Amino acid sequence: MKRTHRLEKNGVIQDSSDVDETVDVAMDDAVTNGDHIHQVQPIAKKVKLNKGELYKPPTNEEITQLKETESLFQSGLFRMQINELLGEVRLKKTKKSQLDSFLHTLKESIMAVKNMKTSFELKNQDWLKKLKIKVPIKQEPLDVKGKFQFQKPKSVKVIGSYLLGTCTKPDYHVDLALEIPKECIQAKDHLNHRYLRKRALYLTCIAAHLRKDKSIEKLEFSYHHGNPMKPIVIVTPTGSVGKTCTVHLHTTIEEDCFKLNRFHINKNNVRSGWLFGETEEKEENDESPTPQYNTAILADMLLEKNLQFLHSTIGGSQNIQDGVTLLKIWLGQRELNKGQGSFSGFILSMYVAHLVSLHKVSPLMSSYQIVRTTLLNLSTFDWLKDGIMMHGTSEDPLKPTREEFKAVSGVVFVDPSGYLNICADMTPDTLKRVQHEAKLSLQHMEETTIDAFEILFMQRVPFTRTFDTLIHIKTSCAIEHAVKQHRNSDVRSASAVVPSILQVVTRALGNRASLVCHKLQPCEKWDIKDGDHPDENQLCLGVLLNEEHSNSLLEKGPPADSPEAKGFRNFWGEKSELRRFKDGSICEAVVWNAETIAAKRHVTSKIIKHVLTRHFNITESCIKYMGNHLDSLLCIPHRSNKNKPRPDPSYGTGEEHSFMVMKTYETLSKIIRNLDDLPLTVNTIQGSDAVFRHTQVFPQEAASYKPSGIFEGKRRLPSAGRNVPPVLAPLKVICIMEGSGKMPEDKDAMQRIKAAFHIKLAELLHKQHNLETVVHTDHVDIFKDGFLFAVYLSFLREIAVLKLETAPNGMVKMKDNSASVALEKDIVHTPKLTSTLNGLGTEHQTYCAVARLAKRWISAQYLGDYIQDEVVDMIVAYLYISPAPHTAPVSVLGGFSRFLYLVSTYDWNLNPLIINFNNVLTKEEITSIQVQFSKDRTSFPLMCLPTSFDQSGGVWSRRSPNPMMLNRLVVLAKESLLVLENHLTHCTKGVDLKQIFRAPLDHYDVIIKLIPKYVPTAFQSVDVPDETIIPKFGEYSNDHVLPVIDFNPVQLFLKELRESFDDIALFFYDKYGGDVIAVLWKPPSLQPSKFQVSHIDARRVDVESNKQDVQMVTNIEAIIQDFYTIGQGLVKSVTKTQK
Amino acid sequence: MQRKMSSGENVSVHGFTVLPVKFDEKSDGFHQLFLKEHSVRETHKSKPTKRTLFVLNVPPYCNEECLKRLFTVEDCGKVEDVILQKKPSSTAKPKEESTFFRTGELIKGFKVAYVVFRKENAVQKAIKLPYGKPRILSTPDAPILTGMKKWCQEYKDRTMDIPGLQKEIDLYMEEFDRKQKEEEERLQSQEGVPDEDGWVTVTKFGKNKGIPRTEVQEKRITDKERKKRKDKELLNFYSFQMRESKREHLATLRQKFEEDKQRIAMMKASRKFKPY
Repeated sequence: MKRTHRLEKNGVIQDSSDVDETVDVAMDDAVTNGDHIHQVQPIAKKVKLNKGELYKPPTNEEITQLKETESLFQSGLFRMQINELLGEVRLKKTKKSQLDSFLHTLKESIMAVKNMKTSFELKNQDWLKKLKIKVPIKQEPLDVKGKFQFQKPKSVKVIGSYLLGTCTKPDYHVDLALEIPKECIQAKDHLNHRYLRKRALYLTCIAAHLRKDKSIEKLEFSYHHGNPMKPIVIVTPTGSVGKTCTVHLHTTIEEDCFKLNRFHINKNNVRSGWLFGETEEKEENDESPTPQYNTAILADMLLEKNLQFLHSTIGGSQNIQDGVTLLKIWLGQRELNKGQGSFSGFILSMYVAHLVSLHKVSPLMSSYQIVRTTLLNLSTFDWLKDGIMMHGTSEDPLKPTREEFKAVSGVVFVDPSGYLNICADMTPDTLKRVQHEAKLSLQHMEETTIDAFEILFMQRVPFTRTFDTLIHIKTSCAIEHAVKQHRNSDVRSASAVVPSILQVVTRALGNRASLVCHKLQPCEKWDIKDGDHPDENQLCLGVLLNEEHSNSLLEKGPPADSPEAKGFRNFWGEKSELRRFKDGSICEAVVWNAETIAAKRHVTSKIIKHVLTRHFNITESCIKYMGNHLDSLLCIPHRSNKNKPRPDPSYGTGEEHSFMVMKTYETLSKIIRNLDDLPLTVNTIQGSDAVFRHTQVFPQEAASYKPSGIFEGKRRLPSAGRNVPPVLAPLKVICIMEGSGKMPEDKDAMQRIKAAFHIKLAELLHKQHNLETVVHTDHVDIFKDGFLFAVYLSFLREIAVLKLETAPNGMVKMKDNSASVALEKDIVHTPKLTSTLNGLGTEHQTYCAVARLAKRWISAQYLGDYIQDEVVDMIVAYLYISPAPHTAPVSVLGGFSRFLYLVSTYDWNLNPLIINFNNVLTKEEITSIQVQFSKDRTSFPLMCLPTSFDQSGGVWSRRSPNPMMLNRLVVLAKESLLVLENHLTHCTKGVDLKQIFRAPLDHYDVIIKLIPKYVPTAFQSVDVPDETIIPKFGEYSNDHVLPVIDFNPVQLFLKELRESFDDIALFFYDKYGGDVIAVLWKPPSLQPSKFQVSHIDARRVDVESNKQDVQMVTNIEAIIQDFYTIGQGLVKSVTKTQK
Repeated sequence: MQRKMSSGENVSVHGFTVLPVKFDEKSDGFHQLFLKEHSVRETHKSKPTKRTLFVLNVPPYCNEECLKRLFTVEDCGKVEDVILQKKPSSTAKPKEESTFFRTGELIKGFKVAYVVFRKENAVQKAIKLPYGKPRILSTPDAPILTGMKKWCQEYKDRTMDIPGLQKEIDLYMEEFDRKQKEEEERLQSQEGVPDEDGWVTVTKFGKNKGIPRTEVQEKRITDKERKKRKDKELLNFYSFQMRESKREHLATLRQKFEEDKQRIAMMKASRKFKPY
């Protein structure tokens, strides 16, 4: 079963390039095609082997290959995909030979360097000026003892991944190690940065020498894995090789240059007296150890030895090489193998080698199994607690112990020599993230419903989209603060404060966060003339929030009299206070104030700002918290004493109002259930309006505004000259009545019976509960506590009655028709979806807000009328149900950006978006949906959203969107995502994220401007103009006069426009407060045509044409006049745009 | 033609007289009505030949009264009836039986009209109307409501006559029940009575009701039979069957392998394997 499933799943992803191309189709072109609902590309024809080939006797190899595929890989396709991927990231043969010959000449060129004749004092660097190169290292203080005399390298060797065969594109580089001859090294060079400076000078000399080489395109400096102590030279060859490959020049020294023990992590090699310019000398033992500095030198010394080790363990096996390459791709997609403190390819190889030595990985395993085993070990092994000592914990008492290593650095992975911690730069959070990703990937591999290959290796998992909230911190003040406090003689840089900031933030968030990570900054390159690199003092933290606790207002601390209480007070400062709890205990506690749900979402941001200011002296202006930036789009404004309208704090983002509607609805349903004298009992009552699943963009407000308009009997009327009151929309409620044998089996008769029921219901409600009602033939509007509920009494039998059809031979058939499908959608599917999504909303707090924001965005882009609300709700639900490769979003901004990403990248043409609510669909069902889909694409809608209750996937999306609207949506989503992600990563000042909610109007043909005071939703618009009328909402006062119900002139206007000009133009409108209607002519309507009786609406005789036959053209002037006429009193102006 | 229009003479296109109309005095743009004598092979009494004018491209806001007034003002003669339709047809639309439950659709947007005059010569007068200046549809004396005023009016008219509705429903149901009863009686009287050829139709009222003829029943029967047939078959019994099934297994594996290969080739073609 697994196999077939995978086949189908992958079978349909085959080609997405065409869709990408059609995406940029201009609006006009798309309209032409708009009528064809499906523009489905042909899915590959089935290959058929002929009988002879199918049934020929198998060879031995064939049988083993087929068997291997079954047992070693998940499926045949997976295996082939892996092979293709490996072929793609490796260098082609011709390129490789070119690269080899380049390496050869480069080596010769390096060895031809001339030795320096005299030696210079290290501080005297005048000779450098002639070379016009700046040393790629910070030299503070410049004055240091020691002499430097350049000698040509003792040897030049290829090292690293190129030799191991695990190099991967896109960053394909060969590492060359230049061994600095012993003559250049003096005995005391291990002290006071002397070696580091010599090393930098040495590279500078080499770079200067290579400048003359003609086969080199570019020479740059960079830091090795972002470590500012270790500059490297990056050589880009000329020609085509240079486009894909670079060569990195490193330095090594012989292992016996210094005693390894000199660089024991507890020793000091940088004297504080020298560093801070103090005169008094301290004893070596009094100085604080300099582990980072020591590690940097050790790495150079042990480089070759470790490489030999790697080569001997994993170099020989193709399978392991493949496995490591795949893992590197996996890390690369997660942006974890670049930058300072990253999980680099070297560490990865060492880890796999470690697993080989533990006999957990063997060369006999397939590459797939190696990936799996490695990920499994990564996710299960408690690395942070135990650390890895590759040499075992034995013999030499001089070597540092596990505990000593752990005391110094967060992550311990000691190489076979026993001195070097190769993970010394890594912070624990990076390792935690690697483990977290490994765990997730393993889960994805086990799930058969998703395409694991795609998710593991092909999909990018960028930092910004992974985390729920991002915090940008300017660390410059923190560094100063830290240097002042600790007088640390180890290295001064931004990276030094990162671990402590992380520690504090992690502690402050406690169980609110499940993971706190910092973003690895990829190392920059710079031209050799440009001198050293400016310090990055921006830090970006990402937080994965914990759904359950992230919004809690209380941080309960230890009891007041316990010894920990002091630490707690110290940590939280003045925020900490003593509180008595319900169980009688008196504890330290921190309390955050928040009234609304929207305000609660800000608690984490408050906490982070508080602790960073308290512990690192980082001012609030240096901290940018990303997570709630778009909340303002769900707010409604209020105005206090004629000021500018501002977001109403008591409204928050409207969740509370949604609950209020829900409460009223529950009371009403209780009333209906308990009604006496209703002829049939009510089986179920279900809401089907978006407000009942809490995804209404602006939940309905109770009608409590000052009555405007004229009275007539017991109701109010709108009048043309006055302001239009806010819309009181009826909220749809479906009541399914019990079945009865007396029901007539005839749809007309049934309609009348239902009408009679509605009259009865209205009468009973008025009599028994004094509720105002309005009877319609198909429903009753019930006015309760300021809300209006449209109650539809329905019988399930009605669907069947509508479906009944008698064939000519007398057979009675059930057949879907448009009426039965519409009814089924209204009384079965929508209520079901509503209750399911309501459940999802309680499980995932942010679901509702994200869905609302998504709908707000679509409407703001004028596409709201072309994409059903339910469709958006379902797409957002998918993000929570199948979040791979991430975890379900816990912040509004994060959820929204993933929504944009999904919409802009999903290949609707080739894949259904299966939304497996509550995991009801079984594997078999999912497979069968996928098989059906790929077999018969055209019978499925363009946007196919199968669920457990609608396996055809088209209840809401069958009619819309059409390809043109979908293309437009994709283009807009791409643009918006770009702006959003740019802001998330760079946090540029002055960027208003609201811009992605402002749609440009220049590509429409005609703009109809409306008079704002007749737009009842004006206060909901993205930018609320100062003079907008903002209704006052509040408690409803029942005076038994019906307010104006469901009266929105703009919608009535739009309806009439669409009825009149459906063949001629498209009308676009933002239903949340838009004050313009954008019009686009349909291209066919702009063509002159012959006189045809059936094709003459809104056309006129073309008097200008000189043709014999009379030509008819669309009467644009008259239509524009009609816009004024039809919208009399509402339209302010109609303008044609200049295209 | 341009000359004709500007001088205000009668203009005709493909046998249709062109008549410009605009909404009111202030309007800039105007539509063109196309008029012709109504003549079709199959006639209908609601649209008598020679007395009926066929009008094309009637603007959305233009109603019966407005057309009536237009031709009266133009001095063609008295108008008896105006029939508006979405699409031209020779018959008249069926009358709505119920005032509450509509069966036909409301006519919205651009439409066609059949104007029935009292006298025959009126049609001839109408198609000879000069082009002239655009005629005005909404005059201060007889305004057409549009926009806000219209919507407010419509809102005001949105009331439900509940007793009327109840009465109509009662009447309908009475009629419905009566019809049903008649049908039932008719069927009952037929029970067991052979027709001319001696066949007896089975109804649901007889002693032997038989199985209802529905799709579901039909399917149930065929399924049952298929299952019966399948139970009798023996698989994996003879050695040739086992050999065959092994061969089949291998063949499916090969087939799948081949399909996978093709799929990969396609993915490759679309550069699906660049992880960057």
